[in-house]
Amino acid sequence: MSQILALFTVSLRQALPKKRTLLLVLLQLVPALIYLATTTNRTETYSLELGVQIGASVYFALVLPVVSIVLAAGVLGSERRDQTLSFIALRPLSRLSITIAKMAAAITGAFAINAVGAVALASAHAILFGDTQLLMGFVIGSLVATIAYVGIFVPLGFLTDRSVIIGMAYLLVFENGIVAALPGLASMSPWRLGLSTFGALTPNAAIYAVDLVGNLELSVTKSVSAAVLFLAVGIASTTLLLRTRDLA
Amino acid sequence: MSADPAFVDSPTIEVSQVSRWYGQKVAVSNLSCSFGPGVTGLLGPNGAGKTTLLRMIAGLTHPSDGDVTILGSNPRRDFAVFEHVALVPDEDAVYPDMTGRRFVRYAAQLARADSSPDAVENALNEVSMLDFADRTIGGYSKGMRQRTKVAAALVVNPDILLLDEPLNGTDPVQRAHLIDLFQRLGNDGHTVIISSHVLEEVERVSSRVVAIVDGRLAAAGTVDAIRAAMYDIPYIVKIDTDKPRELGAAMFMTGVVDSAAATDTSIEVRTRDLVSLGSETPKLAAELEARLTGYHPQDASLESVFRYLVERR
Repeated sequence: MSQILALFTVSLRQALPKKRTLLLVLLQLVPALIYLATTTNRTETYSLELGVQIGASVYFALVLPVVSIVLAAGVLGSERRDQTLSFIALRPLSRLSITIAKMAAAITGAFAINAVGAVALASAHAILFGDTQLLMGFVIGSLVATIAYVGIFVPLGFLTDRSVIIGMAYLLVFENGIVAALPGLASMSPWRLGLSTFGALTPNAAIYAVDLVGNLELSVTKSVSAAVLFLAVGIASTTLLLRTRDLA
Repeated sequence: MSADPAFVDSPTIEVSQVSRWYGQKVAVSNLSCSFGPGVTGLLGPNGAGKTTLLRMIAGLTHPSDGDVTILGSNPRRDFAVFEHVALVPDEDAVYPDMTGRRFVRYAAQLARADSSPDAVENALNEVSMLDFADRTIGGYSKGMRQRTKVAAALVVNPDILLLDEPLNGTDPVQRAHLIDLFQRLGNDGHTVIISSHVLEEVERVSSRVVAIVDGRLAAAGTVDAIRAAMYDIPYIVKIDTDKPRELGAAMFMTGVVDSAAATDTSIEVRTRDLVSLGSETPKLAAELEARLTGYHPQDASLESVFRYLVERR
């Protein structure tokens, strides 16, 4: 257990160097700043709608995926590129243990950054109107979406150096283009799982987000189950890749 | 004593008919040998397959065919065996943002070894890196990184130590110190394999050598036996002269060369005695009043020597 903890701790530090962390945190503040810039002199009801729409279309659909993809793709990908994977692989550690430590580091790192954006946006609304109802939905929704992205992009990061580019194409072309046109594919869109969770936890505001979740139900259970499925497939495929591929 | 010098009596590592190919390229071909306690030099020219073999032994690369076992276990399935094995790779498999001390401690933690400050300091002290232990590895020279990697291997206290070109980038003092360290580990009963493309380097550190070229076993045994095998090789030398036929005939008559083939401006001779050829050629040229304008050994490189050994085997 101490081995996995050591691997987790070092992986987390490697994933979040100071400059990158600062940049990603600043990116997380963008939705809150947009909200503050556009909500002046508006009514509380309109501002709630605005907050949810910015949360859905800027935070969930852009900022959160970018952060999650970058961090998840790098957690094993950077070890492979830097040829340090052999340093880890030559230890009395099962490939499953390596995968779990890496996935846990990616989820922790990405969620820690993503939570900043969720809290900032919900806090901006709370400070202006004394309404805290967005907070829990944004934070839990962020966790669900982060888990799903990590499940997809940790193994992809191990497979190819182009995983971030592929991730951006997945986000912009598939999730924000194709799924928007074909709502039946919504369960393949991690950020929509997060938004669905938000909607289920924030029923008063859900109406403003419902158009963006495609054919997904606003259900915590179903969204969490789907995210866990993404993670399980990610763990299985990463473990298999570590077992079968030559390790640099 | 094993009859075949490629094998040892009490092996800790067994390589059995192992091949590894990448598409059309064969990196290691049907190679069988074994390693036991003591220092063994894994010798061969660059690209011979030494690194691929070491990586297969370490379980990082899977063989396309054949088997590798370490302490009776398959390193690609039984990860517990890595409590007893450490590899120092040729490439910079280090974290540039970590200090040397943190890197060595991390190696110990991952290996379930003693990661106490004393254990880490001892390992760093073994490679004379204690004074630089709190600097980040990114600022180290190549030699310092090599020594830090060795410290990260030593902290595990491995029964088996695999070293891929470990002396690269080290200065003569560090080199002597590391060679002494590896010999001491070998004498203490550890299995130490050191890969190198430099015969003199291997000769200084190990008594047993396994030589490979083009992925095949070229020779195995003591350094002396391999040197003796090398002396048996006919060397080819091209000599430029204005009287090639006369000089070639004179050389053949004196027995300095095994054969000689002349063109209009040069002769190509085969000899097993390069020293005599070097001393006799000017004398014969003087007697014949021939002018010597060039002397070009054709295949004296280590690589061609190894190729010869492969063909002979």
